Amino acid sequence: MIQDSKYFLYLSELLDKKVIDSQTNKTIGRIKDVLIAPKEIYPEITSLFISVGILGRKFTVAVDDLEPFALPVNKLYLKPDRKPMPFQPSAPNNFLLKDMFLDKQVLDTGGCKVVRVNDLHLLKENNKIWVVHMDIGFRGIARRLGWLSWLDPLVEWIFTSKLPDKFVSWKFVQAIPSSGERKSDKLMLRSAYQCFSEMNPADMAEILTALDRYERVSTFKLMDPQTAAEALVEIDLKMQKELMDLIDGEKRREIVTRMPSDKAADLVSRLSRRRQEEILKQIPQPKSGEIRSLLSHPEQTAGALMTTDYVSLNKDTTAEQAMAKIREISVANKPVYLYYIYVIDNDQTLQGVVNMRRLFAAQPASKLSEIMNTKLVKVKVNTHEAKIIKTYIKYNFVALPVVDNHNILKGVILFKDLADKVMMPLINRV
Amino acid sequence: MAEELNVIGNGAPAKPVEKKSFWATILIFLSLIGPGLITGNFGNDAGGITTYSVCGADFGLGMIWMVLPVTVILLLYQEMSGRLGAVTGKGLSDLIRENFGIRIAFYLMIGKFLAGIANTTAEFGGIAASMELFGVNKYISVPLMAILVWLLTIKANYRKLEKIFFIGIAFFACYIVAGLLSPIDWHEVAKQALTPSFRMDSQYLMLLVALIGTTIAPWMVFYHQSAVVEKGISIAEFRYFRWELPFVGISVGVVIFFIIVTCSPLYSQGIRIETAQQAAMALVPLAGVYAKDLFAIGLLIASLGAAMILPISTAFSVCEIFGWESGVNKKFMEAPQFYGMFTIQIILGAAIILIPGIPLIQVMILSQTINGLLLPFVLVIMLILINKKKLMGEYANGPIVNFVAVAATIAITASVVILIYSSVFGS
Repeated sequence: MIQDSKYFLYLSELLDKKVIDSQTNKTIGRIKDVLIAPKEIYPEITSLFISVGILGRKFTVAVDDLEPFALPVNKLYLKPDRKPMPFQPSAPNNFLLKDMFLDKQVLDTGGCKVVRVNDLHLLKENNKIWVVHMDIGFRGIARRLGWLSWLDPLVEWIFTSKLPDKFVSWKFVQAIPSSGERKSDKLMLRSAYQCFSEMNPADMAEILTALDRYERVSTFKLMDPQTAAEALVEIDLKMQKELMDLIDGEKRREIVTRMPSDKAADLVSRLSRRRQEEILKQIPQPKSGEIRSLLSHPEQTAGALMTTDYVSLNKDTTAEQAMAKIREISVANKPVYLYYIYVIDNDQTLQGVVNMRRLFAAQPASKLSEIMNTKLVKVKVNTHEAKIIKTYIKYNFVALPVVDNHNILKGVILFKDLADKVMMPLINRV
Repeated sequence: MAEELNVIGNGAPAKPVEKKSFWATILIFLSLIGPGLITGNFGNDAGGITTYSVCGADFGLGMIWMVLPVTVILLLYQEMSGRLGAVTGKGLSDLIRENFGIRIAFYLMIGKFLAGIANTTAEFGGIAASMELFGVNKYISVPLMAILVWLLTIKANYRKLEKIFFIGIAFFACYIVAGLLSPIDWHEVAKQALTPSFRMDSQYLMLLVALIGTTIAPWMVFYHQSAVVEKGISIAEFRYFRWELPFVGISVGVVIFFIIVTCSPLYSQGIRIETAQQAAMALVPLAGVYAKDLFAIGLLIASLGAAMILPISTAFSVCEIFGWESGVNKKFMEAPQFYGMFTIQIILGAAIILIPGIPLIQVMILSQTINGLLLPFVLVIMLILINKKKLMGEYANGPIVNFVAVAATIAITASVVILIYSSVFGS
């Protein structure tokens, strides 16, 4: 009897191996795939999928029914009193591991990358086999091509070290949703929603960019509106437009509502006239009004650069009330920038600005008009981009208020938005 | 693009596409045009032009009727590779890896890489030959053109490359003018074009086979699909995308037609040629020095374009298989393997042609032989993929298209087998 213990093996080492009935000593067939049961983090391989010839009959053999085996796997023997079962393709929990993962693209949520599965790394303990890693390295490819026997010594001779393995733990593996096939969804995607919302939006955006068109849409559809809005802001406008065209109206509305109004305006301006109207009608006021007014400004002016998601309070507001307001905004998690409070008069004209440090240092009862800074630097709605950049360089602010001809506050230009506008062309040129 | 498009995923039922105004439709169509025209036209590369020239010189107008069937075969495969790309959103090599496993994909890629180098070499051979017609030495023309091709691809994004290719395609009008300059009996041309003739001598059959074999090369299938994917064409747009096919057919057919017609007077003069370069030289006493120049320009542009597309196509495939970053829209450092692969092919292709005394015809035959070895596998794989319901849903091949496609695949396979057999064992 072969000694059985705890060891690792690869899926590719199992595939195409013969399974033999130990009573008759006849070959039942070859292993073509394995069935997995999604139980805990690491799925367990429950049975082997065996087929006789290319078009022959299909069986499954439970892992429990196999005689213990050791590496290297050559032939597998069925226990004397066990029989293979006919394969039932329609059974609800038949997940075929190879079919679903091998050679396919998946998300590595740990490294936030789209990777291709070259092999699967399995752990065998007593009579159980678990899927523990995916192999995404060149070594996996070499193994499957049957090249390791000469490649390993060669690499070792040249580099004095072995060809390294590149593994990703199974807990970071996320199947990419495709709209065609829904089976993998049941297996993996219960956590997809959660996994996407835990990711950094910039990483999420990078993943979206790396996917093909259909995968991108189906992945995007899986995100909750908040995550979707955050990720959307980070990807390029052409792709944003494509995604927005492909999701349904209700979700589109939710996402645009959650985007900062300047980003939303950039996006909406790229959509067709009819769709613009459709979206703007669905979005509640005052957001839709803000987007509308942002849309009306010519490009490269302050009006087109600014955002309307800022906090402005009347000059008679007390510091305490102002702090309550900020808390309210923060709790509701609104996409509002909290760098400064802009202080306005009863006629909406801009009077001054209070930064957070000043606000928190003030007596609760003191009015904003008493603590505000009145030495304001501001730009007009129609000020050109170049002038704004100069202003920023001169004063080093993080945000710059934008007013109209009557000194009424219209919006705020954030340094990071300006930086995006100015730096992106530079980066693209490098 | 002024209008939004309803795009659906693989396998999902199509939403009815709303009625659009005439101009909106034209605009969509224009925005989608490109991959087919470029692949089809630059498929008439150095090897193709040589074959067509020899057809005209050896048999006059005797093979002119083949232009139509050959064009139809090209369109058939373009439609299928475009459909595969639009429905799956993936390149052909990607699909091969996902559906046939790494082993088949890997060895196919090795073949494709070798074919890529051989073909690129043949294209640089075309460049050298055409520039020699203007009296430029190959040791000057080939390195210069290699650098030009390399820089254009590295610097340009897909949209710019597409424009460059379109300008190139416009230059193919050279062949039409060259044809008009030649002393041609147009009544005879019309008669021959519409009446298939057939001869049972081995030389005629060989050339017929070569003509079919040169119509479609493995890189064309791969490149077309990758271009469709890179352009972001989805299945809802594919309706418009199909309208490109008649234009492809006309532009490609006309070029083949005119090359054969232009060279046909050589037949009645009893002049035998082996290369496009010889054909151009032989045209001087018959059609004037301008015909030669136009012919040379056509050859130069075709070879240049193919010398760009071919390495791109191979680089795409190899990167898709290994899951590396790829795409001409990327910067060099964003996709180092992609551009590395591209650069290696350009350098090798140009270097081989610069070996003193290298026989150009042998290089061309070698490249067509490797193509021929690869082609049946690629076409069969394509047929299997496009019939997969799981992959294509309702966009899988119907019985009629399948019948024609299987027949064409058998015809092409038979052609290349005969061609390779004869070029290896002598006719």
